[in-house]
Amino acid sequence: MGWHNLLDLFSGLSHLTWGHLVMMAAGGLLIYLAIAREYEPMLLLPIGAGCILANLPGTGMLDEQGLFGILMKAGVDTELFPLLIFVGIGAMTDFGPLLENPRMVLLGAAGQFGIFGTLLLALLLRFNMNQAASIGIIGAIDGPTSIYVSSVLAPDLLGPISVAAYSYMSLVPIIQPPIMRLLTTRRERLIRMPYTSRPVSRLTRILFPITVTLLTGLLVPKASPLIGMLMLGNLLRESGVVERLVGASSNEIANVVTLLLGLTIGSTMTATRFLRLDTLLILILGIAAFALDTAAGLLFGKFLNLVTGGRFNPLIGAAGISAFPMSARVVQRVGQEEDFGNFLLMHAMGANTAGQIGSVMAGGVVLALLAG
Amino acid sequence: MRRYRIKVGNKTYSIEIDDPQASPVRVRVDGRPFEVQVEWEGADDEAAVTPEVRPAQPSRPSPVPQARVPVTAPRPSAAGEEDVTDTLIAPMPGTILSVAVREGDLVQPGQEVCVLEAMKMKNSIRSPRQGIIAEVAVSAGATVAYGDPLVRFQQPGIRPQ
Repeated sequence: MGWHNLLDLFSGLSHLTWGHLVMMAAGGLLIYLAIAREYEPMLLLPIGAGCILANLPGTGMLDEQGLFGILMKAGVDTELFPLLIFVGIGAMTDFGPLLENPRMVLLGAAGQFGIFGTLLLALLLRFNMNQAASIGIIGAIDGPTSIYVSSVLAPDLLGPISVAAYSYMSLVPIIQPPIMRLLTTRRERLIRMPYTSRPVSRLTRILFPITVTLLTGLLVPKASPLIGMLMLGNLLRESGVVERLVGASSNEIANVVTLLLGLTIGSTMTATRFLRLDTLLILILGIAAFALDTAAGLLFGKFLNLVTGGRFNPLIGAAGISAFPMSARVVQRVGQEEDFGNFLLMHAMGANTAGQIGSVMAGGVVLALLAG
Repeated sequence: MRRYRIKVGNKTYSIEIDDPQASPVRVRVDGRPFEVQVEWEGADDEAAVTPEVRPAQPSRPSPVPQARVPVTAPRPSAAGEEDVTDTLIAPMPGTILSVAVREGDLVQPGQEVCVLEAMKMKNSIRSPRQGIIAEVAVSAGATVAYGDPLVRFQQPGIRPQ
């Protein structure tokens, strides 16, 4: 053993750059937000950990045969992880409020228009078309769809896009209310909407996921992998006969994959890929996309209020995004600020589940148009 | 759609209400349709929650388009004789987590009556009016459907000291 070997012990230290330190600090910030503020800890904690590990020099974890290399190749390049997560989301989602109020589907669609506004903004900022579309998807605050779309269209932006989508998910209660107050009048916020109870039969609940899958498959084939997995999970749930599969999808599979996906996304946050002006632009454009989606939903809510002769509270439009159930809860809270006897929750839940489907569809449309 | 039979004096009216909290409320009295405008006049004005037509007064109800109706939605009972104005109902289905009032309590407008958990969100159900609780119809852990009574208030007109 000579001095040479001894120096090898400290090779990590000698290769450390300021970029590594900045990114480790960023990873530390994500971990802090997860632990101290409980901002989406299930996601931000693994992402933060992945980020710190990936920025330790000389570990080999990013190599093709390293941990992150293997995970990236197996789960993200193949789009496997987001798809498995969708089975779990489907198994956890109750589409009842949407089936009781089918017109809420319109809001789930309207909430996606911000994508195109952001796409135009991103093009102006010299992102190419594929990158711009991937950035636009952030607006629906749908992590798995954002990852899915950008891993196909803009793999180089995967890190910042997924970090933006997941971070803004936890900022829904902060970002949405000011926009909601700005774009609605007090009179509109005061509109009461009683719960419309309409029993949804078991048959309807079972046929819904099957019908949506078939329709999507025929109309937007590129959305089929995502919608198909989402609806498979929901079919498991509504069938009522496969409790163990529902449990496995919504607990074991979803939790394991969330951990692996979070680590892998975190590992893409290396100094060379992340410390660029583009990352900052993506974070800003992501907020813009989110604000535009919220505004589009609200404006469509105002339109519905107009055509129903003042019986529709436009606040519900803001729930037409994918962040479930945060967005529906925000609608309920903002409505109650004006009138504590106003309960918009169930309507907003309908719009919110429609938003979940809508953002996946939008992802599929974007892929169909751009991935060829 | 909710159906009520209201007896005023000796005459019984059949009343159908599509949706008690819509604006305007569409009501059919013996098949004749009326639109009723509900105006929220703030919670501190008890008069706002008192209907102009009270079942206790034996006068023929004259349904006019601008009649006031209570903000607490009516609730049918088997006999159809129940006071329909003073029941606070569950605004959506869910589970009662806690009840903050007892019979005989004087509550103020906006005071929490109970907490209803719906879609995993805790919702504070507040009293729309000042009044004395005559009956608490739910207890913690109870599952309620939309329209189930939560509490009943004492008859209007009885002022707390």
